[in-house]
Order: sequence, then C-alpha cells, then structure tokens
Amino acid sequence: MKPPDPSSGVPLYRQVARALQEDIAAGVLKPGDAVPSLREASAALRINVHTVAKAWQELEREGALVRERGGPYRVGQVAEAAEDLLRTDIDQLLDRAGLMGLDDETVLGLLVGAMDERQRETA
Amino acid sequence: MSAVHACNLTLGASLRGVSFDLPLGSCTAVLGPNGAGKSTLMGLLAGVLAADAGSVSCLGPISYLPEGMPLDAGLRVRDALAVVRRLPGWEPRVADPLLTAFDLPLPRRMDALSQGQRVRLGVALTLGRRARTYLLDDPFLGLDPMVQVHVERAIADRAAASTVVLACQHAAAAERLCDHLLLLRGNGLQWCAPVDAWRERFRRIRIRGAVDAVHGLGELALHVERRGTTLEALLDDPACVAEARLRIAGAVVEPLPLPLDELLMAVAA
Amino acid sequence: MAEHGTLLTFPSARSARAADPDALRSEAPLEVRVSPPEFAPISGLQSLRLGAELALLSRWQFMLAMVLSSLLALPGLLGAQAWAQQSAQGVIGLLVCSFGVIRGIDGRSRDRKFWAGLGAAPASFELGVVLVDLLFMTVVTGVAWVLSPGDPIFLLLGGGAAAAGYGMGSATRSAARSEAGRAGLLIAMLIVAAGCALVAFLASYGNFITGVMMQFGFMAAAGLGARVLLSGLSPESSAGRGRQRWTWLTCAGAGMLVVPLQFAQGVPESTTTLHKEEVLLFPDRDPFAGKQLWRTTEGGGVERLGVRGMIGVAGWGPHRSMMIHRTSLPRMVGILLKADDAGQAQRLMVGGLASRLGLITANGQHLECDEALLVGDTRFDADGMGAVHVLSTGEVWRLDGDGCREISLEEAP
Repeated sequence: MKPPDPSSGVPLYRQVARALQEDIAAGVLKPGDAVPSLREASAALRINVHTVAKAWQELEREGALVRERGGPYRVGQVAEAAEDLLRTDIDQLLDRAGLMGLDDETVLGLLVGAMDERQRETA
Repeated sequence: MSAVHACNLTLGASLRGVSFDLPLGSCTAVLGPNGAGKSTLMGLLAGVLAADAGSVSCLGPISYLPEGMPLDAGLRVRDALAVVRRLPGWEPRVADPLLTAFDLPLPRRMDALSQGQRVRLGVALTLGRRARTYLLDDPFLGLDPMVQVHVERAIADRAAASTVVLACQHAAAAERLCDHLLLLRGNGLQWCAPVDAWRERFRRIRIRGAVDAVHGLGELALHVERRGTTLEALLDDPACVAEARLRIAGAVVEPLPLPLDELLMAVAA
Repeated sequence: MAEHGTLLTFPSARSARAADPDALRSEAPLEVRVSPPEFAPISGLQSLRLGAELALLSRWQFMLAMVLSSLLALPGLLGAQAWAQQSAQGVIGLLVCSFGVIRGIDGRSRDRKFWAGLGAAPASFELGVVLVDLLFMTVVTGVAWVLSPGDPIFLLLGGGAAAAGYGMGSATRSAARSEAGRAGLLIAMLIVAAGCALVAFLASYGNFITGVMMQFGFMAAAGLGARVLLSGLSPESSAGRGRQRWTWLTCAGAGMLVVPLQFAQGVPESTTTLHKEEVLLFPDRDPFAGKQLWRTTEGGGVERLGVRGMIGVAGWGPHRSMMIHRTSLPRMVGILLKADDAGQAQRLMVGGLASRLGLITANGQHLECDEALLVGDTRFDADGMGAVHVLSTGEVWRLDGDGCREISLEEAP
C-alpha cells in the first residue's frame, strides 16, 4: 500500500480504507486473511495510528472487515469486488459533473468518446 | 488524562503566555514560521530550559531530540551509540532498523558529520529508547526523502504507544503523522486543535456562476483569488454556512484540495 | 475581503467542541495503550558516570597529550642540572595551567540538553565532567612531581593555577559567547585576583606560596561549585545559555576573598624551639597568619616581635636575642641552622639568595641591615645587644645599637 496524500482533498482515512479495498479487490488479501495490525499499518504507511483505526472501523461498518472480540481484523466474506470500487468512482465522477453543471448526456458522451479514443490507440 | 500540559508558559521574548493540553497517546505537530518559538517550546517541555513564568509538565520518562542534535565535537559516533545503548530503555527492535537504514560512519567524530548525519544519529538515539513522551525537534532537518521515510516509520511506530510532540517544517509529513496541530506565531500560541477540527474549519472552494455572491461572505472568506471566469476562495467557515449562502445566490461551488502548508501560509499572512 | 489572522485568535464554538479531547475520543474511539515503561530512570550515580565517560571519550587525545607532557620531568630523575629540572617543571606547570584554562572556557557545545533530555541528572552529569578534568590535572602534576627530585614549587603553583583557571574559566561561560570573549574576561578576572593577592600577601600575610594556593583553591571551588549547582537549575547553563549571567560572575569574587580574610589572621601555629623554655612562632605554612614574628615568653604568654616582612628563618643567641633573615621568596631558599655545643655561636646558611640580616636584641629592640648580605657566620655579643656577621668572602659586618656597617676584622669584639 502506498502512503496517502494529505493534500489531495480526500480525508486520509478514506484513502487508507480505499487502498485496502484495492488490495482485496486485486486478490492480494483473500476473505479470512488477517489485515495488518494498526501499529504495523501505521508504521508502513507513515500515518497516525488513529487514522488507520478510523479506516479499519469504517471498513468494518461496511462489512469489508470483520473482527472477533480481541482478535485481529480479517477480510470479511462480503468484501467489495472490483466493480463495487469502480461504482464508487463513478458516483464521485457524477457528483463532480453535477457541480460543474454538466448533464448526464454530456457525461455519457465524454465516456463513450474516451473509450473510442482508447480503442483507436490499441488498434 | 493529559500527557503534556503547559500553562501560561513564558520565556523572555521567545515565548509568551502559551497554554495547552495534549491528551495521552496523541501525536502533535508544532508548526510555525522560523523564530516563532518552536525550539524554545520544545526545550521547555523537555525541561532543559527554565521558564520565566508559567508551568509545564510532561509525562516521563521522556526522550528529547534537540534541534540539530548538538553533541560534543570530539565524540565519535561509535562511542555515542555505545553510551546510549547501555542506558536503561534501549530497544533494538526500533533502533536497529533505523541504524541499518541510516548507515552512519561509526569512526567519525561529531565535527566531521554533516547536519543530516548528526540528525540521523539523534533520531536513532532518541527513538531507539523506550519512553512515554517523545519530544522531537525537527527530526527531518537535512534528511533526503529516502531517509525521511525511515524516520517517519519510526515516529509512527512510537506514536502508536506513546505521546509524541513533533516540531517540523514539513507540513505534509506532520499532517500524515499527527492528530493534533499546534500553531505558534509571533512567539505566542495561535491555535491548538485536532487535525480534523482544522479540516472542518478551513476549506478551499472554486466558485462558478454567480461569483459576486462572494462579497456577501464577509469574514468567512480568508482569501479570494480570480481565475478566469471562476473564483478560488479560502474559507474560515466553522459552521459551514458560506457554501449554502453561495448556492442560494445561484453560484456553483466545488471543493478543492487544501494542502496544510498552503493553509498555514494563508493563516500566517 | 476579510482581515486575516485576527480571525484565528480564538477558536469558533464548533472548533472548541472538536478540540475537546472527549469529543475527539467519540470520533476516534481508539484506546492507545500508553503503559509506563518498566525500566528505572537514570540515577544520579549513572549520570555522573555518563558525564565522566563522555568527557573522556570526547577529549581523550587532548588528555593523553597532557599526561605525556608530564614525562618532561624525566630528565630530572636521570640527574639533569638543577636549572634543567626547574625549567622542565616550569613548562609542565604552564602546560597544566593552560589545560585547565582551555577546559574551563571551552563551553560552546550544547550537548547537555541532549543528555538531560535523555533523563540524565544535569548536576551529576556536570560533576562527572568536572571530576574527570580535575583528575587529569592532578595526574599530570602528580606524575611530574614523582619524577622531580627537587623542590616541586613550579608544579605546585602550576597545578593550583590550573584548578583556579578551570574554575574561573567555567565562571566566564555565560558571560561571553565566544572563546575569545571568555579568554578576555578570564584575563581580567585573573588580573583582579592577582592584584588582590599582591595587596593582601605583600602587606600582611605570612606565607606567599601557601597563601596563593589558598586563593587558587577559593577560585576553583567557587567557579566549579557554581557550574555544578547552576547546571542543576538549567542544564544549558554550562553552554552559556540561560540567564544566570550574574550568578556566574559573582563567583569571580572568590579571587578577592583574600583581602577580607586578612582580618581573621591571628597568632601562627608553626613553631621553632628556641631555648628549652622558649618557642618562636613564625608564619611559615599558615596562610592566615600575619607576617609578624612572635615568641612565647618565660611566663607562658605570647610576645609579638616588631618585625614584618618575608621572614625566612630565625637563629638564636643568648639573653633572648635572636637573628632573623628576611628574603623575598622564603620557600626558594634552603636554610640550615646550627648551634655549637655551647649554644653561643650559630652558623646560618642561606642558599643561593641574599637575605636581609636582622637582630632582635636581648631587650626586644629590632635592628636590621639595609643591604642584603650573603651567607656567613654570625656571632652574638655576650650581652645580646649586638652581633658580628662574617661573610664567606671575608667581609665583616657589625650590627648593633649604632646600626649596620662593614668593619675590619680587627675592630670585631
């Protein structure tokens, strides 16, 4: 996991939670695996231990992580898949488009345009 | 329960009437421009300076890294390490990885070390010992980014089980590692609060459309800058009323990232 | 646009809520376990050892060079000329003195705050440093002393001056930031102390050398005492930080202490037996004794003789009369007293230097020659009112109620 960037505007704990979700989605961590302890993650990511705790608690609320009393956090059975992660990104994209005053059709047009561009490049 | 407590702390012209409380297990960044009294405050907390007025208490045992790590010019790195290793509280678990990463020239004398090497030695000696309160006065002074990574890791490790007070110029690292910010300005305390409170209070936004509505914000807008047809504003808006007012006036408001060093500069301006 | 800065002087209600530690806990309900470390704090003895050890480790080359310099006295042991022995001692004395001064004013390093921040007791730490330095001065002087067969006066003075320079050098630490400034201040302090010593010792004290050593002791004790005590109050004080500037400088007054102390002087305790019933009291080793000569009277009381000055020795004659010699450097002169079987004739040997010949007559009158005379035989008059001094050169001097004058051998009674 790479250390979060405090200047990005996204709260640090969200960035940390997101980084762990990415690892789960990529299969680095499988359901039932223990995730790094607060202390380990805090040292590895060079962030405050409270930030890690907040991220892990957030993921526990969402069901991505589970913990038995006193035991370590483990990856839950209902961990988000890659599509779910992408859905979150799309939500954010739509929010941003709304703020800029773009309607859904324009956004869709932009997406389709970008996909076409890529296909032409790979071809 | 508070781990570090200062009440009306005063020392000459360097520090005047500073009071704050830091909770047990917190990690606090002491920030401020050069000459704002950061090192004086750290010296007072460590008990190596005597205050003119006010009181200070710090949960011991403490481990203090003085600014620039001054040691006797004739002392060799090897001897300094050997001496501190023998003192009670030395923990090879934390110290050894740091010493490996730092690659210090053991036979050299202090006067033959660079600033960065001296600080590295200081960090290893200070963080390598177990303590309840760590007082670190600029542990990143003269360090290259690769070395700084190791120092930050060791600080995060210590912060997980102790109280840490960290004076530094590196706002991004401070924001990542710390959960409290203490801002000194003009030799007095400007603000001491959890990082989250800073983030809630100060935001930067981009305004489109009815940009004139920004004039109605009054003191909520700390700083406004025109960028083409849009405006960028830095808000001091603890109650979150500015954005609502702008939207009512028909403006489109978009949040922007706000790095801590920019915020500090705006606040100090 | 808003006025910046002034807005932040007090937190908003919401910020204040957020700054409340309990509010923070509710947001981040993480219990950080901060248990007290289970090791003992650094004790005073450990701090002392730490200070001594660090002083040794960071200055060992300098100290080794100093110890080796004491070997300069080795030629004396191998039978070198007296002047060579004395010069070697003088050089070693100067070296050890500069060692003390350098270690005294060398207080730029701000390492104390690191060691104090680590938990070492600052006063004990400073005491450790001071003890190591004093030990080395003693070792250098001691080794040279053992190797010197002659009178170790230069070593004694050098060692004393080293301790005094070390103490007074320490006292300059907070008053000047640079070594040059401290050296200047130290020189000023030493000039004042030397002036006081001259005034006090030339005017009234009995023994110059022991008096100066006593003054050195005062200066060393005051400077080093202040250094250790102030370090306890503020660990950075020995690096010239903190505001005890005047506390540091007041200990410079120790060099002036010899002046008021003369008021405490009394009858000396050093004695020389004259006749069976009489004892001469003279201020040989007692720095508190005045310069006057005293003798016990037959009735058991003490009588002051009207002689002041650097009294080297006294011989004795019949009828309670006595010869006295005054020299400028009493300890520099080897003097031998002899009496013949009848106790009537004395031979006074004054090694090397000339001395002033004086006579205290049987009725207590004090007579003295203006000229400094060399070694010779002295013969008292039978009534104890005069004496004849025959020099080894053949000159004959007569000292009696008419004064001191050279006479021919035939005129002698």
